Amino acid sequence: MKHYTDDDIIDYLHHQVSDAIDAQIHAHLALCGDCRDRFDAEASLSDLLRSSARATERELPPMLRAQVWAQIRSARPSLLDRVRAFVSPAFAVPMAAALALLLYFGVPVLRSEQASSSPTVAAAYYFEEHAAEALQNPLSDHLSTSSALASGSDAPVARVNAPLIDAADAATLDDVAASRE
Amino acid sequence: MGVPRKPVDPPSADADAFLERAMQQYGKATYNFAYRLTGNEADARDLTQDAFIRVYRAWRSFVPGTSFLSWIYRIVTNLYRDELRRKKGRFQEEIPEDNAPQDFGGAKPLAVDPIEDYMAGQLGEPMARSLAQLSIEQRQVIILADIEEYSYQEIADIMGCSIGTVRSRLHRARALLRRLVTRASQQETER
Ligand SMILES: [Zn+2]
Repeated sequence: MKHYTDDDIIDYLHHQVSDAIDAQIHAHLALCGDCRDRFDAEASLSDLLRSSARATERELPPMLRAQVWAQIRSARPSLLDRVRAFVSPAFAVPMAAALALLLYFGVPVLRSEQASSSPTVAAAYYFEEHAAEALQNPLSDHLSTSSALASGSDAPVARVNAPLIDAADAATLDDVAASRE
Repeated sequence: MGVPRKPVDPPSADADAFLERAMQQYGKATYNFAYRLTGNEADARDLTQDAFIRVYRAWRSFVPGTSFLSWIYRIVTNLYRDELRRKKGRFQEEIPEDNAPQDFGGAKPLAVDPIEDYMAGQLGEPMARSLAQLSIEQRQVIILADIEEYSYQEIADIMGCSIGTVRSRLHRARALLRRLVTRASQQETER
């Protein structure tokens, strides 16, 4: 009687053998105590791994999502980059030059836009805002943006275009991805 | 589609929506994957954050209909490998894979590395401590095959290697893990 190796048994355990081999090993295990014992040992190792994983499963840390957004916002492309991206190449250079001049002379009209390119202040504000909100309402991760809106301060307003999506909204990642362009 | 890529991708509402939904749906799974890979919560948190930031920047390269989890697990894996390379020039994956698993038949202590010591301390029970003794590739293949229950082909896609490599890694990792778990359990009862 041909016995199966540990490697064969591991592949069988993971359903990674052909149907024919699967049937052969299945039949063999019913007859051969030695192979059966080795199969049981492998199967119990897998069971142990899964139960250990369940026992040590963690919830997503409550602040993690806000921290991701804060990092993204603080690393946002500069105002100049955004203007360059939006404006067609023919106008980009003169526009950028004009903008540089405006920035240089510190025209007050631009102040609100400058606030959005002031990453540390804005990110910290967003973070604290979220922390305060999370204390009051730990189940909501979204209110931070609307509270930033309501606060009326110019710094965080630039951030409110972020995650205003309702969890109840049935769209999937595929929908979101498919809707691009 | 069809529109030429702009040199700078401005953050768009779509990217925001994509990321927010990804974190809602897969944040916990990603964090747990990172936790099992690193063995501690602080590194898992950093890794998860960095992975989602990368998702945000590269969201256009996600192909609808494919597995998002496979994609982000691959991102997590690559980030973790880069991070370890950066932290210390020599680490387990720098050693040619074939001689990575030591023979623990003797009486020498299992944790020979400060990071391993740290991980072993963080993880209370024998299985977690044993997993921490494996090389990253070994730990990863076991997590993906036995905890996440991916097929060899899917694991090969995530790890960026051949099915043959997945198979041999898994076989070797399980053989080593079995010995480590036995030892860890014995140590547990001796305490
Ligand atoms: Zn047999």
